[in-house]
Amino acid sequence: MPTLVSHPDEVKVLSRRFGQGAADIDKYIELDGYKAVQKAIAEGPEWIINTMKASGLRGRGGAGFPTGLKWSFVPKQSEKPKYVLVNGDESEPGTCKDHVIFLHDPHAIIEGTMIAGLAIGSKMGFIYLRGEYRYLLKIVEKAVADAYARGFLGKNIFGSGIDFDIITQSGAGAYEVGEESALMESLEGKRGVPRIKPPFPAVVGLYGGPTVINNAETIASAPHILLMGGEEYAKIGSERNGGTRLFGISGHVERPGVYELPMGYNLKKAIYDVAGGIKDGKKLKAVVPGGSSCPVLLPEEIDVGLDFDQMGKAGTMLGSGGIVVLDETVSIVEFALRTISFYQHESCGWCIPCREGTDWIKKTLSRVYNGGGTKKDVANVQYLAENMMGRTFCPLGDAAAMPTLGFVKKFRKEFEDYIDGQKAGTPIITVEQLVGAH
Amino acid sequence: MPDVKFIVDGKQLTAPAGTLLIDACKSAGIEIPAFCYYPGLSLQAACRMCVVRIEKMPKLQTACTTPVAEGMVVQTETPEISQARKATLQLLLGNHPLDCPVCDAGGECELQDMTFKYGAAESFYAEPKNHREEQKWSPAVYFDRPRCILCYRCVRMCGEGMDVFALGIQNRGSSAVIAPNIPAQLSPDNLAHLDCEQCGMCIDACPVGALTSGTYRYKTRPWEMNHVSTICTHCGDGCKTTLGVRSTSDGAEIVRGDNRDKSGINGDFLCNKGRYAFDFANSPERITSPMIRQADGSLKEVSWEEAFTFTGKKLRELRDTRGGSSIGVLGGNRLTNEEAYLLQKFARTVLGTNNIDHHRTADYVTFAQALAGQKGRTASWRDTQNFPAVLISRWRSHQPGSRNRVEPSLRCPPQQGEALHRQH
Repeated sequence: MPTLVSHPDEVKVLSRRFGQGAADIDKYIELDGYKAVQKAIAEGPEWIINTMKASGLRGRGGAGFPTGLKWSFVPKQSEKPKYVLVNGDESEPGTCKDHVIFLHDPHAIIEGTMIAGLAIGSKMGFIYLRGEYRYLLKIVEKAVADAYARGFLGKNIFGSGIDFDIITQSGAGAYEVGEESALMESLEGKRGVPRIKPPFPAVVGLYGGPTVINNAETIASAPHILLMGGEEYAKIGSERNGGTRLFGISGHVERPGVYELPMGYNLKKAIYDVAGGIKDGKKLKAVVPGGSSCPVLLPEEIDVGLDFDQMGKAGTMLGSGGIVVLDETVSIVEFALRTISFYQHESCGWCIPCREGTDWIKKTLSRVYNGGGTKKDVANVQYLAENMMGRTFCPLGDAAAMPTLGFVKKFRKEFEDYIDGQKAGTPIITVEQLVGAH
Repeated sequence: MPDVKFIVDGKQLTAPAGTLLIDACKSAGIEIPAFCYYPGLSLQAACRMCVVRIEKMPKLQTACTTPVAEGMVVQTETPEISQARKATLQLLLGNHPLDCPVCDAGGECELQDMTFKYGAAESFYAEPKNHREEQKWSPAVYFDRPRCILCYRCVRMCGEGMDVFALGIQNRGSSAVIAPNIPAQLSPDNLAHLDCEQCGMCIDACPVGALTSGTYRYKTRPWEMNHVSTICTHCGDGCKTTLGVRSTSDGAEIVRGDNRDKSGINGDFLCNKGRYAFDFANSPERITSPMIRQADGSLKEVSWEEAFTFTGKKLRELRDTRGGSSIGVLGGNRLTNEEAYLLQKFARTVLGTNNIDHHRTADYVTFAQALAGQKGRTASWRDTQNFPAVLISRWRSHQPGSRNRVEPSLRCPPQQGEALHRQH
């Protein structure tokens, strides 16, 4: 189990049970567990949705859509069963927040799923974990089994006359399945490719039924919000960005780890104060602020609040809360290649711009990295990325294009110097030699 | 559905609510390019060629998935849109082999046409194209993987259109590939094969030369043939087929059959007989003139005039000496309804007999009713699309067209099909 980190600036809402053995149901109950769901049953769906709206909670998967509003879109009457889906397909490089929740507080996710179910009138929830989190599935399955054994799940939960079941499912290892409609396809046993929208899941989702699909962290926030009250939760965060968020700070910092900080917390402070600054006293070179799909920030750009709106104004995104810190030793050429390699590998192949675009950017950057680059290649990479932006079927294409554009625009000189340096130095590998090696 | 008004490229248009923008534009004479969109098959939005600018929408939208709406203002050709399409073509051409001079589809290839239109002629990739050897899936179907642009038309045509599901997609990302139902690892010869009826619909649907016909490939160029629309003679369904006919030194040769104009009652459909069974036309064993059996048992070639005179004489003799009821008439199963009608008319009024039969006894009752002019005539193909239920007896019929009309409708009725596509 990874060591937990902490810092005085943290506001422990989601993480308050971390490290206390709350995966055990008795411990969870002792720490106010399953109180929120009982309150939810007593107060009813309208109260739940109003509280969630008041909390200002915005989706923690990365898009930042207001959760209460999302829940309110689900039609009250439906011929088909309604579902709650927990998106635990946490695959964005640099992101490790859902991981710690599943590890330390799986019952919070179960309780949150039940609350979402009560809010929309659903009788069934699914918890979907990414394929690479199979080892966490055991923890979640045990938690679900324990909840069933106590009668918290199943028929007539807490004597309410309402039934609620939870099914756990592991993915097969596809980043694309983190996209909500691709996740539903996967859960239905099909190829993990996204669906055409509209209709949106709230109207036509899993098995054609109205579906609420939320990120695991969003779902785990719900019980805390109901217990503390929506307004109280909203007060913690910044304007229009309620509450706290788990930030995974990784890379070249002294104390990497997952920290729970209020929304709007300063990014520079998070790096230099909370995470202890740049490792070994080196200089900061760049920050990828919200998972690898977010455009990179330069050192002079990081004095900004960590919330959806402020990060958007700064020309990047809050994303999934995975802050990757790069020191002066990092080659941006290599980092850009590593990033695009991930998206090239994970592109589902459904649409042309993403399938072919990621592949050509990767091929071009590989050659540049290996010493066969020309300055035209940098322009070509930018052209490819610009022509992927906004043109793909789902956001994966944007996720690949945005960071690429950030790198080639903000570090263009480094790319050009790299290409010149390789030419001046030894050994020189020509394009012909490189491509002839195929 | 009530009509809605909307504006495309400055023109005021109307169409029933729910019509897809791409179809509404086509009806108004505005062509929006697309690879993956194929009328009647589920929507994909995968090729991104049909992107258009719709007012108040932040991004370009796919016309193939957007239903028209009241007051919608659309632009289909702007520099931004042309650039998006050009960039998509550049991406496709990056790996497409450009062996157009020897490709069967050269000259009738949608990728060629779009490249011509949007001018993605320059390539800036230094890396070699992904090459893979061509695969012979069956004697009728060949697959050239590098030419494939992954529009999934063949997969949908085979599954949704034909209810066969012999094609699928393997792998993901740039490794994604169309695959037949017998993968190499399950095959004794370690090669992938297509185990199906070989209807060839996947070849017709392919917008490029990725799927080619085993009987036609490398034989000629599309512009060297006359494309002759005709009715297939292999059964009574009456499907339209287009024969590619090439002049030869001693006449003409049929080189291929396909369904390029789609205006027949068969719509998109053409079965393997209509597509491949034409080699008899130039067979040396083909009987090309009538023959009369001689006293010694041998057959003698005669002219049609002689044959009709002989047959007429014999029939008249029989009718006049033994009465019309001594003659029976059997219709063959390749007759059209019209021909069958004429045959019975001839039998009753000329031969004076009511002994009329059809060799397919299972169909006799409806057939006879139809002949008697009763209202409950045989059902038409159009009826099969609208009836709430169809009782099927002795399936695997000799009429693949009829089966094709009914089978996919059973699984996915067209009216609901549209709704299903919207949902998924």
